[in-house]
Amino acid sequence: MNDWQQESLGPSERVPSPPSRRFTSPPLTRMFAGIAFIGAGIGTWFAAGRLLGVDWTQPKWGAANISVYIGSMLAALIASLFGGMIGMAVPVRSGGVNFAIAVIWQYTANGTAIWIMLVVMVTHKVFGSAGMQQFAHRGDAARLGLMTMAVGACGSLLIATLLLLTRVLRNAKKPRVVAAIVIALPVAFLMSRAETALLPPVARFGLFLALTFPIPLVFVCAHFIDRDLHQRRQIVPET
Amino acid sequence: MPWYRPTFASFLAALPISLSPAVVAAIIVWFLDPGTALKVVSALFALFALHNVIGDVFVHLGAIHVDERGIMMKGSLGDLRAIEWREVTGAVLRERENPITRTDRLLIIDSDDKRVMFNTNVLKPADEAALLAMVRRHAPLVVERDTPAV
Repeated sequence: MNDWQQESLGPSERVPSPPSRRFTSPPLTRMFAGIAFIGAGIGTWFAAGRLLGVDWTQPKWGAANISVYIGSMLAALIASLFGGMIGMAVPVRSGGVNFAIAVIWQYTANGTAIWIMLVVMVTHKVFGSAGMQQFAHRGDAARLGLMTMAVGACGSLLIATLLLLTRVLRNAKKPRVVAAIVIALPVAFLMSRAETALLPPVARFGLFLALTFPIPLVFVCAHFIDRDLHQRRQIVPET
Repeated sequence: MPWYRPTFASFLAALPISLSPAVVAAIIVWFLDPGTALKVVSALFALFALHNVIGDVFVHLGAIHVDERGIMMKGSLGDLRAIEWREVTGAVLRERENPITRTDRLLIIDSDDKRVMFNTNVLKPADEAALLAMVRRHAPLVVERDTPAV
């Protein structure tokens, strides 16, 4: 305690500084990392292939081909690290915005993957194993692959947007699964039409693609969105 | 005090999830006409689905009873397991938020030589609440929250 002969030059007790607040959004981090991974991977693959003069219609396990594969994978991994770090640094204060990012990213990412798997299965059924190998060596196989990815990504993004706008998916509420599947169905039909335009032989299974796609999409995304929200609560408990 | 029994609706809701590995395996086999390795994996998926369905049947044939004396569980094969409240050495309720359906809950009551385990989320919500309220009245129920499944 001070008396009249003493002079305080600072606070007698250390005042603890308020804890630093972080508003990191796990889905935004994943979104940045995922986009960087895909963008850098595909970009490097095409650029390096062209630079080294790789002919994808006549693939051989030469040094150039292996360098393109390894180089694009390394570039994708490094880019995803940087992308993730940038995403982590962006503060997302609103729980609602964090939820919307989780829905949009998980639907787009998982929807693209599910769509590609379904299309590959259907294409395999149409062409058979030998036909698939010939198909993979076609000059436009890479372009068709990218277009299939684009159909999956755009369709899934549209579904996510519709589910948010119709409030079928709401923050802190369980999804209405049947309503979500019903809303996703028309978009899945559009995706199936677009895929048929790209790959006409797939038309035989167009209905299968449209009817199947929404079911795993809704169930898989529900779990991944839940994980995103759980991690967010660990960082920002009140959201 | 009644016996609390799982609902048929809960059994029907569990079936599609349990069968989903077999459905995936069937789709893969039909579309991809796979080689031996993938056929073996598909067969394992089908076996996993069968294991899940058998688990569902066993869970939904069980029943649980609580009264002022203790807790008693009837197993799917008619076996009885009972613990009096004074014998209870531990009572735990494991919870896991399910993003689609009700919260998964597993009640575990221990004595020195016996254990009663029951999935309470297969009961009607009102029955589940009544059962857990009764357990809480007689034993200090510790809730353990599990992290999400994914």
